[in-house]
Amino acid sequence: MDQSQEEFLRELLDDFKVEAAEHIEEIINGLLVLEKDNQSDESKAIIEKVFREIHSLKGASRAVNQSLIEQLCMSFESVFHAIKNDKIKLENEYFEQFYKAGDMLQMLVEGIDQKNTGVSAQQIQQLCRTFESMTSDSLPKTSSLFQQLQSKKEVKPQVDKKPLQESAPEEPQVNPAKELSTTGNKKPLSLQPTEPKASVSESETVRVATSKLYELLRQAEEMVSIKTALHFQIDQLNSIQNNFSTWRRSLLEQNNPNNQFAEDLASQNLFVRQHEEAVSRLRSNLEKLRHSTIRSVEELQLSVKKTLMFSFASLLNVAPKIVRDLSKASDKEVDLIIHGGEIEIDRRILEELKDPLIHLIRNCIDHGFESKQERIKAGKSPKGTLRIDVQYDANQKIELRISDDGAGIDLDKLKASALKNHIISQEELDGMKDSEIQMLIFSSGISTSKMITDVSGRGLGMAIVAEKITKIEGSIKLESKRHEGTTFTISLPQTLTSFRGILVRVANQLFILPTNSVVKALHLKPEMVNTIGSRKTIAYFDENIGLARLSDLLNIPSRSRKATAVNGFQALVVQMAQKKMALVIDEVMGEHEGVVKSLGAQLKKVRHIAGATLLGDGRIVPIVQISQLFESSHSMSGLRLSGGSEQKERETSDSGPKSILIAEDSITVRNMLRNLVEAAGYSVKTAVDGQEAFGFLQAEDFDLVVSDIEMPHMNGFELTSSIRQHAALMHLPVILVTSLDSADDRQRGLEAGANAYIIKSSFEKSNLIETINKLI
Amino acid sequence: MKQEEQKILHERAKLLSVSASSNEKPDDQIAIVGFTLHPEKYAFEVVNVSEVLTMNELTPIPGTPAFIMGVVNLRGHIISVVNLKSFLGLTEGGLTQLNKIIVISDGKMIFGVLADEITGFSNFPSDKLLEPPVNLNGLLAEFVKGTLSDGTILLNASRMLTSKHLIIQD
Repeated sequence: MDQSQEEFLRELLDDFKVEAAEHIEEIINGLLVLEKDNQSDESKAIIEKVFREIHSLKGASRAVNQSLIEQLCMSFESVFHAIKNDKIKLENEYFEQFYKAGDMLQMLVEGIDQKNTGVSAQQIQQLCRTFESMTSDSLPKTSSLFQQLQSKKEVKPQVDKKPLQESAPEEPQVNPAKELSTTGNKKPLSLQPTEPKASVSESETVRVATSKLYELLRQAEEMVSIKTALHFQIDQLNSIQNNFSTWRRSLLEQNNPNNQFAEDLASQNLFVRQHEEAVSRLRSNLEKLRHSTIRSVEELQLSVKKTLMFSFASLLNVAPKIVRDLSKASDKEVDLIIHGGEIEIDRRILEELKDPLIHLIRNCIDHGFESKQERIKAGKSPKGTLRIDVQYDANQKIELRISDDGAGIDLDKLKASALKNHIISQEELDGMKDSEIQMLIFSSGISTSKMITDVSGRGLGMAIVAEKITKIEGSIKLESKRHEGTTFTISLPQTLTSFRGILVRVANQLFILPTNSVVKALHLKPEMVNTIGSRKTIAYFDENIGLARLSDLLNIPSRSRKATAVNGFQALVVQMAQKKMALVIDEVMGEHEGVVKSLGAQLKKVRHIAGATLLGDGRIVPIVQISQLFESSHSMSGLRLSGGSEQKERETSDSGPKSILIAEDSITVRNMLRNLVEAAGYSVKTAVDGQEAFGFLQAEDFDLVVSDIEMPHMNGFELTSSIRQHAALMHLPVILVTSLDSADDRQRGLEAGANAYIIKSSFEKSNLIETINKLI
Repeated sequence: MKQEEQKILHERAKLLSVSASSNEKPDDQIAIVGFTLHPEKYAFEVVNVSEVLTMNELTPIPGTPAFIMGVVNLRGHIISVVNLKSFLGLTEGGLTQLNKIIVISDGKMIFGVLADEITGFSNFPSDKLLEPPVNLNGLLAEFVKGTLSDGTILLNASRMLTSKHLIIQD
């Protein structure tokens, strides 16, 4: 077992201890209530709760291989199961045994990492036997323990402690157990205060709701504004001081010996100088205060952020299962190698990373790796290797690398898809380097997958990956070599820092652009602007990059257009995912550090604006979302084109709802599909098998066919082939829907000419509707 | 023991509270904050109004509908401000001030509504609330709760706070 794995197991055990302590606490609390009252309706719910808690503890202990705890829970659980189902009655005498079990569980949990837990396997087995006899009592009434209990019931009024002595006759020799049974006896008073205390000191951790920690972090980050405010105040004092000294100089100039007000002036001069000095002192005090404040605020923020750090292992744990399931489903063999799981990162970043990671893994397996046969043909091992590495890079950033030794990105397919989906024009494509073309996979609407499946091919995923990563102030790069493999490198900050941005003025409004996306500020002359196609560009080092007015992209009226054009103008070069563009602005006002705030509950999502930050004087400045600017700059460059497509949309919407033919032999599924598709606004006709469907298709016009695979008379594959061979129906989109998820069937579907292949279990996720929308 | 005592106290409190409310009958009173959108008089129920402030600085946000005037800084929190005149399609009645902000909230949603002038708080019996006039335009009709005898239009703040028309998701 290597070190990281050992560490992982220890972490797991630590988690288990915390969880188990909670379950045991709940069990004991439940028992305490039940002992007082087990007749009322409320007690039913508590019995149920105790049962659930024991059950959960059993499951958790099984997961971490704590067989003794599991064993004890199992028989404990069976007793409560019987009570719950009214198989046995909850007798007061039982409680001693229950408390004993609770105490034993607690000792077992606390002693997990010690050799001697103080509880022997025999004691546990003995208790288990007692529990078994409780449940078996209910059936054969002649059991010895039943009689025992009966007799206990009779003696109970006279001797209150009797049950304890009787039920634990062998214990006295064993010290810990004796102690336990006595604590059990003192129940309500002694149990509760001692228990949690013990478990807290043991693990030296406290469970705090993450929401509270975030609130703490928010408040700590709020203190950044104190930093900025102090800075602002100091600037103000500075200017007052300057005013004083100018005033004093002007006084001195008037001060000639002949002046009858000489004395007056001298006293004024003194007065001004005193105040000037006072201001100066105030300023330097404030400056000192600012320095110490900055230091403590930064320390505070760092400590709070550290409490929110988690190891990557908690995220990467999901990978093996996903890799296994997906590679099985696509009939590929993939070895997964993970390194660096112990590196810690802000929990919020981990949360945001989950979807991108899963998507990238899916992408690798679905598109990255070739089929076994292809791999053998290419002289590679039939088994692919997927590596996930986490490491620190040179800039103290964290690098998450996901690499496969698959086929690499097929540039030709990518170009074709980009052109087909109007993401880019041929002339733009011609001017791009291969590395830039590869970045196109992050544009929305791109897919090189021939077929849409439930995992991939809808061309949205990579765009979402890029967006999510930008959101957490990370960046993503891609290197791919045809036939050798693809590597995605995600660079991440260790914590979500407060926001740094470049403050700019555009049309008399202030905006702020994230510093990490701004590459350079330029002063441009009109003659430096070229026009390529319909786009304005400038030469930037060895590339041509697009040029746009920030005010145009944001759609705010700008009056300074003409003036700037003559005298030259300022522009910022911004970059996202290896794409660059230049934004024309009126003026750069400086750099600002602050906290990102939302625009308020009402403005949930505003195009181009990611949020806002506050200046030292309380002014609000909107933060520009660079990724959306890139999107808008594309749509603006092809203004005519987008106008045309709008018109097209209107035309189609006028012609009424699109009609869809559903072929499915099961009446349940047929109706379900009909409801689903109709609800999405399509008109639906259904057929009971392929033959009937094909008949309808020849008689009426449809926009798309959804077909089951297994049907009598003519199955889905045959129906698809027939459609493809029919001159008038050749281009009709066909979606195959099936309960079979096999690579073979998918291949057959593709060969028959289907456009998409969807697995039935995934209907509800509106997978189908999305696919239909995409295809027509 | 304690539980029993608490039970008793609780019951007593219940009894007391019933008698108190039946004396004052606050259920039948509606407390409102009146304001003007020149030249008309409007009101929100006090329960939905979290505060009233004077607008100092407003930051416009590009890419939002015209009825979103911008955002303001409310003690470190940012809230958006709605111009009801343009949202409800009221005729612009010449020069108005629109420099007061009534902050309305239901706990989940919060935003400010611009007003020319705050006319004050008042109570009136709920049975004096009149049906809104039938000739109101679409959006206004949706958000009007009723009118008072002096012509004040009582707006339905809770409906505004949950209306899809007012939440910007694009």
